[in-house]
Amino acid sequence: MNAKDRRHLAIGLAFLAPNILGVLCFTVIPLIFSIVLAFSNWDLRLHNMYKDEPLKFIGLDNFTRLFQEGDFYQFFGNTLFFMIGIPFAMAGSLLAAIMLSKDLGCKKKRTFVAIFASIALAFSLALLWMVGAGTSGMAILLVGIVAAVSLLGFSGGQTIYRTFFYTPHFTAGVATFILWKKLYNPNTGVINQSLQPVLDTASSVIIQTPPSLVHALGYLCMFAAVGIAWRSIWMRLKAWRDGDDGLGAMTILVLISFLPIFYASCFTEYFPLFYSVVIVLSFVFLFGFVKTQKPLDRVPSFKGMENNTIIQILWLVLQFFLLLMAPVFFQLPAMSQDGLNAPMWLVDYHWAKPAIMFMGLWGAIGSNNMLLYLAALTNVPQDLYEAAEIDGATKVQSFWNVTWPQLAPTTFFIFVMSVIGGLQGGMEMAKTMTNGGPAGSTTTLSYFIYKEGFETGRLGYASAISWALFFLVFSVTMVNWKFGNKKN
Amino acid sequence: MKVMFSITALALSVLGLLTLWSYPTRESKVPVLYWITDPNPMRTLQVDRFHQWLIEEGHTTHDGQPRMLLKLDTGNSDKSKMIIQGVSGMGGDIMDLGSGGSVRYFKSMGLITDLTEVAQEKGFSVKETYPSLKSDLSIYENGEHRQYAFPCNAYTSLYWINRDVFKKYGIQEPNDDWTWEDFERLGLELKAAAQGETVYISQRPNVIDVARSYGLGLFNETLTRCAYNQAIFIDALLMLERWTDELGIVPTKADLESFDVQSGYGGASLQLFKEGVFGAFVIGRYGLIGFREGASMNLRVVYPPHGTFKCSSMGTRCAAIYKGSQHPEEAALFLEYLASEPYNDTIIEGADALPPNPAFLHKRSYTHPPLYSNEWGCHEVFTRAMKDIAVPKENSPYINSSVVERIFYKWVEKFEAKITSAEETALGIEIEIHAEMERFLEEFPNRRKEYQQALEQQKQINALKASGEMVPASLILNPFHLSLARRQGWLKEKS
Repeated sequence: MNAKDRRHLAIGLAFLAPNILGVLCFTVIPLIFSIVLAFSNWDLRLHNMYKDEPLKFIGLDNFTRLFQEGDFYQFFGNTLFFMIGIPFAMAGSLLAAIMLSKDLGCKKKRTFVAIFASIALAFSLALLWMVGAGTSGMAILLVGIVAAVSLLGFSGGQTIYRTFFYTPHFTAGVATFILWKKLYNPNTGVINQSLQPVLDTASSVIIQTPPSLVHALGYLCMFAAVGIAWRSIWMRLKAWRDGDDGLGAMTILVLISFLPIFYASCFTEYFPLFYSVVIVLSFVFLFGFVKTQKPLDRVPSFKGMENNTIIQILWLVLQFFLLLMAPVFFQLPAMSQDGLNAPMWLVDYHWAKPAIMFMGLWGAIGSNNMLLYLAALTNVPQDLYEAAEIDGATKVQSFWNVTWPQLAPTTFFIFVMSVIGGLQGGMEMAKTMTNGGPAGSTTTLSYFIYKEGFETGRLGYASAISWALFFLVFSVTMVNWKFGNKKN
Repeated sequence: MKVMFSITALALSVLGLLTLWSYPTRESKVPVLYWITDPNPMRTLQVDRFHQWLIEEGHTTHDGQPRMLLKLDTGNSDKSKMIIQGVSGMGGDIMDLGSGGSVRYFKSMGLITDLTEVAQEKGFSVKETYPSLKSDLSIYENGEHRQYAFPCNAYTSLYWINRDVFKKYGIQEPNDDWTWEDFERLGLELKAAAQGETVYISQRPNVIDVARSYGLGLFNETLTRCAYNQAIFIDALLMLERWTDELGIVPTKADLESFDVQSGYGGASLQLFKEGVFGAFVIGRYGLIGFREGASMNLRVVYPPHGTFKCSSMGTRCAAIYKGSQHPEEAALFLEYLASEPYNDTIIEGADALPPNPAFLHKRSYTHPPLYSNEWGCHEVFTRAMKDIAVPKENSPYINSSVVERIFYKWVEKFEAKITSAEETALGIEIEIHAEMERFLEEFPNRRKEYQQALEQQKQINALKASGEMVPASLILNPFHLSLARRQGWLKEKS
């Protein structure tokens, strides 16, 4: 390296030095320190500037204790539950981006009149509600606001809508949580005020309906879940036969299809084991049939995982939803006798988690994911759409065969970041809205780390939990990277 | 774009310089101390009076000004913040701590100063405050009690009666001797008389208080084991469930959430009491901070309902001196002030619970506040209660009080959500508390010997109780059981 190169290097390093120092001081060194903490008995009651107890290396004791603690699995389950919404949030972001990529502007004079009329309507309905017009006034108010928003969008174009969609994301987190806490108020919250009249009407309809008809809906849900599982299995076997999927990918995806049915058979009282047996036998039969048309792969490959995992997860969530709705329909006639009540949301052990998940979904739809999709959509070559149109593709086919593959890198990135964010998040919501309750139902791993570290003082243990979470996030990211980072 | 960035950078630089220029100067000729406390409006008055007190007591500079400046820090009163700042050497000089559990926890981290000698010298020892608070303010170690805090106030929770509610529905008001059966009866009478209107006898009683009123504490006499896996606690849970779900005489959590009244000190429940939704309301004297807002209320105070043991819970907001304070002597002056008349007057005037020094409870400004004649007759009940029935919280030295709270409420919430039965709840609380105690002893093996000795002591107590003999006070470490034994007559006091 000559003197000139050395000088250039020195200048470059000098420019980079503040940043490097910052990363070292605030990221790398704390990271290393945290690894040390995780294998030690660091406790604020023993180790701080006013205590001089020696630090003890305790090996894997913190991790052993963690995996023996029942609460860890509950909090881990809570964290995973909140992540169920990720595929739906991504789908919502994509849908929002597609809608927002179309210009809906309209500058006709009568549109402005319509806008003013809508605003006036919403305002007078608000007044009616304030003077006690009741629940129906609230519902009309909501409809009026929606109408006003729609018309504003028509007049202002996509800029207005993009602003509305993005607003939840840049609103301060705590303010949003407090707002949602009000919305979820069991008696005076907007959600229940709109929902309760609907439930009252539904209750009176259900009472008049023969119970067998309502139960039939429950059976329909069960059959639909079984049907989805069966169809998924058949599609995967066909894909393997046709060489689209490798044997490894097919096996894993079939297992995913079967999971909800297996869970319902083993852990619920209403879902007969019979259906699981039928599914397993069907798979065995179909596999045997398909094997006659294609020999087994010498080395099982995972070809096809990248394209089908997210879709399979979406089907999985739908199956679980149907299996959840089935017992609801079975019990609905009995429940309706006393009237159907809207959920208590944040104070109800069973509803607190879904309530927070819905809130997360609302914020995630219009978040940076939507912006990423918007940017990616502009990069899709228009001639591909033209070619598809020429070939007679419908809008759905055009989306599935042109748009979706072109968005694959963006989807992969969003999925990875959402999973990482989902595994790490939940602390602010838990602290602000529910304090982790009721009964720990909304405590996530990040809130668990906070409580153990700063309320109990066990920083070593909290570090161990953090590193367990890191390995979890890392593993999921690696799986995603292996199977998801491929262009189709 | 370059122009825009340049203008923005210039504007921000100018604004930054302006901010720096307008920032209040930190320079002071006298030591500046920080008091980490809650954002109660009375704090400003208390600080002003402290500065006046310094002058009156001669703690001044040569030009007659206070020899120290006390400033409020209400933004860092969260316990986690105090801990993190404290262990990092950035804690406030004077820290407001909750009751004994916090004192014990902060002491275990070495964050607060031993005040025993200086307290006796300057007149803010535990003798200057309520005897029952001794277990909250001092820690028994190496054969003696060492003091680590002094109260900013003391409280005991009694039942405030909204007389207008009882009058409106024609229901007899309760008295000091009412039992939980009377509570239920009055609740049902109130509900029947209300004819569909939303009214409750009171907010939901705390299951701990109900259990204590039947003679059951959270821990045993030596604070070594959890005592809740017993029929009394199970019955208490079931009673509360019946009152809430079956009889509807107290509101559910969902009901409380649905009452969208969040303004004012004390939150939703206190406002509901003022509006007549609750006939009675259990809170300390500091409830007056909220009651005094708005229209004058027709009030009375009675002891809590009892089972076999009449008692009320008590506690304190106490002040401790940070170990890392640069000015411990000056900080001790503040604690001396807490025991003085000017400070106690601010507590009396502001109704911020009870004054830390009971010597001032005789003052007419306390018993008969001039602006609030509707409260006359109420304040003496608190004085009597502090003397007769108030029992402090139990803090075991073998488990962190916040962990106890976490375990307890987790299981009680499971019971309320009908996930566990009352029996499972009691057992779950016991198992988890014992597991945490064992974990503590693994983390602090030097405490195991003390724990074993306490277990032996407990065996002695159990044997004495079984044989019907008196139990020496020196054996009992749990203040709840000390009070129970004393009032039930099986305590052998020190001679």
